[in-house]
Amino acid sequence: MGNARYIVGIDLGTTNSVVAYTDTLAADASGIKIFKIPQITGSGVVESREALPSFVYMLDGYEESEASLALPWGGEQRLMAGVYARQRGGEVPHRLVSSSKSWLCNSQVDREAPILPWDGGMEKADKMDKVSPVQASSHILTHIRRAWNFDMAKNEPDLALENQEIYLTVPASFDAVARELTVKAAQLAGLTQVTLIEEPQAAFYSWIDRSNDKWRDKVEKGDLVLVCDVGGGTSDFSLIEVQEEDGNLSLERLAVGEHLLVGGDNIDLALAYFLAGKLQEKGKKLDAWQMRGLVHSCRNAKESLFSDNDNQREHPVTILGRGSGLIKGTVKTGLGYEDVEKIVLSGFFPETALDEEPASSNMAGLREFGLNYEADPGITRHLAKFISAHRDDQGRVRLPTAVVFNGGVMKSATLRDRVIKIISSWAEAGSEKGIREIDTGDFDLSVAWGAAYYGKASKGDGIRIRGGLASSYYLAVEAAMPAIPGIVLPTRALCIAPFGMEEGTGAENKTRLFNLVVGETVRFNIMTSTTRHKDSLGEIVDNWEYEDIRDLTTIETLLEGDDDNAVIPVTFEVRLTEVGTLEFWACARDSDQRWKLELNVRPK
Amino acid sequence: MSKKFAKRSFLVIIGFMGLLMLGVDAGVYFGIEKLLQLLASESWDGVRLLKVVSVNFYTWFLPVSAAVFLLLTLILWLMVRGSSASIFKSLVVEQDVEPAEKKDAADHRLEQERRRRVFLHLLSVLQREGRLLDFFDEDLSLYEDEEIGAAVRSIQEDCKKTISKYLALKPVIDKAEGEEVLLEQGFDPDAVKLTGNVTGNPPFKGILRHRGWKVGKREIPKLSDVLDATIIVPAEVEME
Repeated sequence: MGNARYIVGIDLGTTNSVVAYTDTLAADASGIKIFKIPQITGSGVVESREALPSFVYMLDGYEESEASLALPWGGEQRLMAGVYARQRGGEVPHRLVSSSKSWLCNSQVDREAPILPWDGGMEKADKMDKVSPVQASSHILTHIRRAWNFDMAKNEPDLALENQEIYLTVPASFDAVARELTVKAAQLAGLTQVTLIEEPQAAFYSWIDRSNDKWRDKVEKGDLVLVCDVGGGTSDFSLIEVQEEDGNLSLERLAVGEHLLVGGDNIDLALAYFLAGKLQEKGKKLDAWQMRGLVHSCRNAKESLFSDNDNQREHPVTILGRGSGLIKGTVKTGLGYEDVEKIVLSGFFPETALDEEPASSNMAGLREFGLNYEADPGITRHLAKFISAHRDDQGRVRLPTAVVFNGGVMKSATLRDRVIKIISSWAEAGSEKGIREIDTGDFDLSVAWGAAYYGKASKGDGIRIRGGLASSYYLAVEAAMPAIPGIVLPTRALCIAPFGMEEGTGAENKTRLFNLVVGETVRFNIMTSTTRHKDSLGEIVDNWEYEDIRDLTTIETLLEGDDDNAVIPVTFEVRLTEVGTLEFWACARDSDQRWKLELNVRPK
Repeated sequence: MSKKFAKRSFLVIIGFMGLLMLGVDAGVYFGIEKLLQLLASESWDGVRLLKVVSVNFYTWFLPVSAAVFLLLTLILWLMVRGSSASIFKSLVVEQDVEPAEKKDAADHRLEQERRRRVFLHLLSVLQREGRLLDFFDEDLSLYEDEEIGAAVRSIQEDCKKTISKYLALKPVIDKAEGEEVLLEQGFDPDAVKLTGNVTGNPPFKGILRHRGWKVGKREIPKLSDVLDATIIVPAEVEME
């Protein structure tokens, strides 16, 4: 890897994937470029686009002729990714895998089992080969690798993507399992060496790069920067603090939010369902095909209504008739600015008090199994929860002083102003400082761009955000309490990896010993928290269920030794690798033996 | 090809002559043996000669016959090559050229199909994204202006988006229409059309009546070779 020519940043997004790169041999080493990804954009058409829609469509053999779906680099194709995959998925929904990335962090399913498309193949007759969330993500990366090797490398092995320095972005909220699976997906795609970087940090790096080192003039010591990333399918928040070290400004990532499954697509759908309801009142019922047209028109209307503030009139929304009944079948309605304001602003960006909590799902009984979409679409309510969870030493809420926006939704100036206004309203109570927006210049490409910049920065020239471990990790231990028949003993949470642990380091808890039995599979429950930053190594939390700690998964290993049933006292060590994944080790107290414990990706 | 033919004819002739030689030599050998058995008691000159041949068959007769046949082979081959060259020449050349022409024709047809596809591609995109062809096909006399307006709004919006994505159109002269324009010596007459009272030499002064359009994008999508390039948009059949 030492002699890689290109540094490549890959933003593997929930709805769109972007690749940026920089050529280390180029005369001006600073230039970062976007790699335009060739993809099928229509039957028999291959075009290069800045973004590869992260949709995977399962081909079934009755699609268009093979020639019209062939990619320039050839090879047999069972899966198709990109623009045309998204379009075909609209027409044949049960063959489309979307948001595979969100499935990667869904702990309720076995993420390496072929379960996607989730609602596909309900009928027994349709024996479709499904794919796992890991495979689906991997296919998107495979497409990128092949496209790169065809376009950039021209089959020269030295320039092939797998031989470049790759920085792959993940949401800051991805837990250890989801990060591990992302690395696995990359390996499956032939990218054996990748480094993970958090998306909000990448967006911040992108701003640093585009400001041409003038960023130091735009922030000052003590600034707390909120990175607010609202994409197509997910929202992600991070807090970055500007500090001073030996007279130079330095950056530290203080906190990351939870993984929120709410984004721009939800907004388009909400608008479409609102209009569909209005039409139904008039006695017009829309079929699935018309509904797709409606969502499309609503997206256009939303973009137009939010693009400039003066445009507060009704935006016509039309759904054209199908086939030759174009005009006769046309359904016309209108989306008023008040409607959009009501649905988008009060629905997704409501005015919120800082202490307001997002509504949790009160749905009793069965909830449709699938992705855990947020019960509360109020993005600002989630933001309030995130901000209020991070306090200074005196227990006061630290409000951000600047905001970096990212993601397609934040392209709208109206929505950016709205978020700024809401955060400012929180400030009135405490601080006198205003909040300002930091302009990153681009809301779609920043993350990949910043990832490439980070790759360059880690080579020496440029600033790095100190981050480390984004959450703290705990091991469930039994409470020291006499056994009572019929009562399950409560467990306590033992902190085994504190928040902020740096890459390439490990934490070993030497004080706490566990007795492991040789020849048996041992299994431990792992818990995690994104908000408990103060817990140090070895700290024990009682009643952790109520202390913002949640179940993550189990780790397990089979201890092999010479004599069965022997008991070995061990301590735990957690390592944060340079790649960005977590490793759990059991270390024998009395010898040099070590066992790696594997993270379980199946549901408990 | 003629070289190949010469080589092949040489092999055929050598094979044929070899067989002939084997036959003749075997006939001679067995014939002499039989004759000697029948004429064992006789002792005239002919019989003595036969005896000499029979005794020296392997050391003398076989090599000589082989040499003679080889010589014959060479002569025959040279004759065949010489005489047939002229006959085969035309035939051979024809055989040579026919598949190449066929290939050229196929390439040509493929190239034409490709051109046709590129030519039709923009239409197919406009139909796919903006339903333009469906709209052209409508009989507008059947509808009220308001109905047409509702449909056109959406069609125009989508087609406009498509055009700007694929062609990134921009005006040739980026000034407001009605403004005065000065055309210097050496302006591109393909890019600016002069109308009205055109006399003398540049610089010309005139009023901009139409800003013109030019394409701001050079990329052409890669189109794969499909069987039937005449299909702009496929028919849709929905499974119930």
